[in-house]
Amino acid sequence: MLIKLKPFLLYMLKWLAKRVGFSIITIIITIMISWALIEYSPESPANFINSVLPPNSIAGKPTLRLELEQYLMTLKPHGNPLIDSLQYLWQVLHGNLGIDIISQVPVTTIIAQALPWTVFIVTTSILISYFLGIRLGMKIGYKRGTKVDSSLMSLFTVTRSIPVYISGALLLFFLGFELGWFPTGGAFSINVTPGFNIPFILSVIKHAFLPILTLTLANLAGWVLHMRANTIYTLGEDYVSFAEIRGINSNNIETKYVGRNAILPLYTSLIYTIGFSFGGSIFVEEIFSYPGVGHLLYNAIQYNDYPLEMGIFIILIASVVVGILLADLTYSLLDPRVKVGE
Amino acid sequence: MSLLEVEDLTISYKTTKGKFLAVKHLSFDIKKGEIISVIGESGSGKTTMAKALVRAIKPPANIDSGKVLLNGNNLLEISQNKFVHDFLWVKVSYVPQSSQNSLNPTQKIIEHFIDTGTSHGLRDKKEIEDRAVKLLQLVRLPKSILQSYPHQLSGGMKQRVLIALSLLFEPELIIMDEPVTALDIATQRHILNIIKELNEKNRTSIIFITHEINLAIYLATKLLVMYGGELMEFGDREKIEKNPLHPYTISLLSSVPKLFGDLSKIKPVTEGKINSKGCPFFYRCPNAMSICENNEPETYTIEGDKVRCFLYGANKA
Amino acid sequence: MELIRLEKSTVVFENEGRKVYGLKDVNLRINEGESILVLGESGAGKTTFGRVIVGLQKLTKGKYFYRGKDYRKNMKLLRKEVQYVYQDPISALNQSKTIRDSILPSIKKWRKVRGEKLEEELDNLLKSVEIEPELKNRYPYQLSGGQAQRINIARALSTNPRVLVADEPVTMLDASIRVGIVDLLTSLKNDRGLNLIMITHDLALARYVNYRLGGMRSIVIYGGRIVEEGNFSEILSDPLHPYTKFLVESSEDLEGVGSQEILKKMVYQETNDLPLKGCPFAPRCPFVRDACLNSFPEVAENPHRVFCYIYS
Ligand SMILES: Nc1ncnc2c1ncn2[C@@H]1O[C@H](COP(=O)(O)OP(=O)(O)OP(=O)(O)O)[C@@H](O)[C@H]1O
Ligand SMILES: Nc1ncnc2c1ncn2[C@@H]1O[C@H](COP(=O)(O)OP(=O)(O)OP(=O)(O)O)[C@@H](O)[C@H]1O
Ligand code: SF4
Ligand SMILES: [Mg+2]
Ligand SMILES: [Mg+2]
Repeated sequence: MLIKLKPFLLYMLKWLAKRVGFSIITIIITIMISWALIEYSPESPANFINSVLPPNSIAGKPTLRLELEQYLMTLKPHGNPLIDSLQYLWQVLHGNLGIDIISQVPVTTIIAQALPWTVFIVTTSILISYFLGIRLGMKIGYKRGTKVDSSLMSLFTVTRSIPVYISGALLLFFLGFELGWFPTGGAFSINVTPGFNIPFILSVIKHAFLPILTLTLANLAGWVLHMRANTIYTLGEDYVSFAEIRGINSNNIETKYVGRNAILPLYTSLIYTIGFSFGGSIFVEEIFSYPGVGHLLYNAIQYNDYPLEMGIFIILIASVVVGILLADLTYSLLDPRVKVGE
Repeated sequence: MSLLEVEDLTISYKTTKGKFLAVKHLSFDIKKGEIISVIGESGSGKTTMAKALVRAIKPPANIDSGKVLLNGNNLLEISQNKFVHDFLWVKVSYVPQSSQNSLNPTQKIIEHFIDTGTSHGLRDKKEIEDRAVKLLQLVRLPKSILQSYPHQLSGGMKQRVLIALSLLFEPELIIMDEPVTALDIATQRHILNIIKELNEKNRTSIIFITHEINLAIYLATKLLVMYGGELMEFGDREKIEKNPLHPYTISLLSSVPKLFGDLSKIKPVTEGKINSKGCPFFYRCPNAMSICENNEPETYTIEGDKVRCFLYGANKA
Repeated sequence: MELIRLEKSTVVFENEGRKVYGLKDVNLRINEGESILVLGESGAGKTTFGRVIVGLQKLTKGKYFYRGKDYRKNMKLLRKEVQYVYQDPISALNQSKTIRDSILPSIKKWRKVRGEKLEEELDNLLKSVEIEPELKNRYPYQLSGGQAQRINIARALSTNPRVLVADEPVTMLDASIRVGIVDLLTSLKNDRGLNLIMITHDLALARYVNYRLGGMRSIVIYGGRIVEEGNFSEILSDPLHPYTKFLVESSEDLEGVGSQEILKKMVYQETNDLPLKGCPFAPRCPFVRDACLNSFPEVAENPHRVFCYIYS
């Protein structure tokens, strides 16, 4: 056993090292390319500052203006995208994402404040939509060919194509403004003290409700339709009909034979989706003025605030790459047919 | 007395082109200790018939008429609960046709035994495992495979797992739907010998479905020849082998070459479609008469054998 | 005249990270007009052998000469002169085309027939495989298995080939009509002087092919290697290689006859990974000795060719 285990572990480690290394290289290359693209934007720092900052805001503070200009120059000191991006990368590796142009605060600080909110609404909505979608998709799949099936199918096909900025705006308008059930902006009310206390937690939930609802609705249809299709496919498999012939009770068949096999292909998508959804939350955060990274990015793009832009890009890229890595690593735990490394 | 009696079984499929009869007025019986080989070409209704015996007929298929009597109980009439609890797997079990995909890919082999055991009243998991180990020994598989997943086993190994699974409650009757099709000759022979041994040791009755006449003959004490969903001939294997009566059986037996004997008599059965009005074999039959086209022959009993063919109408007992 | 020559032909596959020999060091000569039987069980390498012959499968090592010329430089000739008949008759046909549209382009290209003659040529071709010409407007799914296989044979003949590789051509068909297709193949061989390369795992069927054509040479493949080669009836009545004995005795036993010389000595087991070194049958062989594990035996003539240390 031991003799066999050792080469296997070694093999696993090798594979892991390869995958992690590959992920890191992906992140690095994307960072460098994005950096080079931003840097090639045609504006000079001075014009840029003029265009970004209202003239009167620094009119009386020429030193500040000079400082800013100098600072922006240090961002691309060599004018050579390769060397500059390498330099930027070096800074990133040291945990330094630069200074935000507008607020003059380190980018890391700004992101650290916004990130938890995004993680909160994105993961919550994905988990809710995932579990709901799986249950629902499976139920509908079991009812394949009936009226219930076809009407729910068309409903979800329609809802899937509604973009979040429309559903979000509608929810905001009716539930937020018209009915006033939910706040229309922010992450919590100014009347509560942040911390582990009930008023604060309630306020957080109330504020996050609409963004989470919007994102959940956006994702739900996809999961339902995907799970329905997988369920129908799995129901046609020989091992399901043989389980029925053996007289295995139907709950057992539903979970162990149909459910487990039908979910497998959705698992990888789940992890991917968590990675990609950070990008998807941009619109939602903007609509609900929710102070997450999406909101931040939206503003950063509007003001050409590129240190901040880059900082957020890095987070997005990293979450996607790490998501994929995690999915690959854990998939073999679920599907015995797949060994790590294949 | 017969262990199982099938009476006038008719099963249809609802299709876009209307109702299609896959099994027509089929009657036969099996006694304790017998092995019946059901032989018929692809589409002759073998699997449909076999599924009816374990109440596994689901839409679009439907049992239009007939009885399946096991020890006198009509399996098609009793409640589902009673059937699952008192009969299924306990008295009669099933080995499915497309066995390469009949095991759940995300379950270990042992879990298949546990699921099956608990579904029919065996609560104690340890007891199920003990039985599984013994059964694997019987089909000559190491017990270590209980912890394997189906994809880790070869086709022949999966097939033997399915046979072991069918034996969990030592049923009186096992229905095996093409259990050795698509396996290597050596594996086929090995599995057939296991089936033979089982039958000899426990007097388990077996309905063995195949489309290979050689294998049918190797195993059987009786032969049931089907064509177009109908019984063509049913009787003692030795007798049919020596003296087949139905033109289809006669053509079938002389269409398959063997390793021994005269090859000059080998002749293919004429190709052709199934006649849906009269005798199904009409278009391919070397002895066809005009009456055969639009009239269904009855089942005639000749020296204890059942034959459905107008050639024997005059000799009707 | 030599038509086909294989020299140390080897095909290596990568199967789930494992190396597998589809074909290993195969040496074989087939003369013009000569037909052979290729025997062996599932995974032995029969299909790989057939695909090499028609030029569908590249060799990893070794050589293949068709009419004296390396196959890689001879693809055009191979495409015309060497045709393949597949195991699954329905899926071998183009599902979206009628029989007519499947075969006509090939007749046009290889038989250089034009205009009105074209349909006539097609009809004659279909008649030669005993298919009524009216069937030519059907799609593959409207055919029975037997009809589809006859159409496949017609399509193969449309190029006027010299060699027909038939890879288990009747395995998927109903037992009752199999010999009908074999009769067709063997009479085509006789009428047109084809080289028929008949691949099968079914010894009884091989016996029938041999009966129809008389005195065929046959090769037995295991683990990608030719383990025995000789006259078919000799191999059947007096198998030399332990694997051939095992195959023959297993088939005989299923007919309830025959000796069980080797079967009695063997414990039944299945092996998925065959050794890459030595004799591939060594893990199952009751006569295995040290030498078998280290290198593949040289050929012995005793009285026909066999590759086994018992004889060398
Ligand atoms: N789901 C279905 N819907 C419609 N017709 C069906 C269905 N399943 C089977 N049939 C038809 O019923 C007939 C009998 O099929 P069955 O599977 O019982 O044959 P079989 O003898 O077991 O054949 P095989 O040797 O191919 O397994 C065939 O003509 C088949 O086309
Ligand atoms: N494309 C491929 N990739 C990987 N392995 C292959 C491939 N084709 C064949 N093999 C392997 O090569 C070996 C020989 O295969 P081949 O198909 O030639 O056998 P065969 O004798 O035709 O078997 P069968 O009777 O099952 O058709 C087998 O072990 C097979 O798994
Ligand atoms: S009934 Fe007629 S057609 Fe049918 S088998 Fe007998 S002779 Fe042939
Ligand atoms: Mg069947
Ligand atoms: Mg093959």
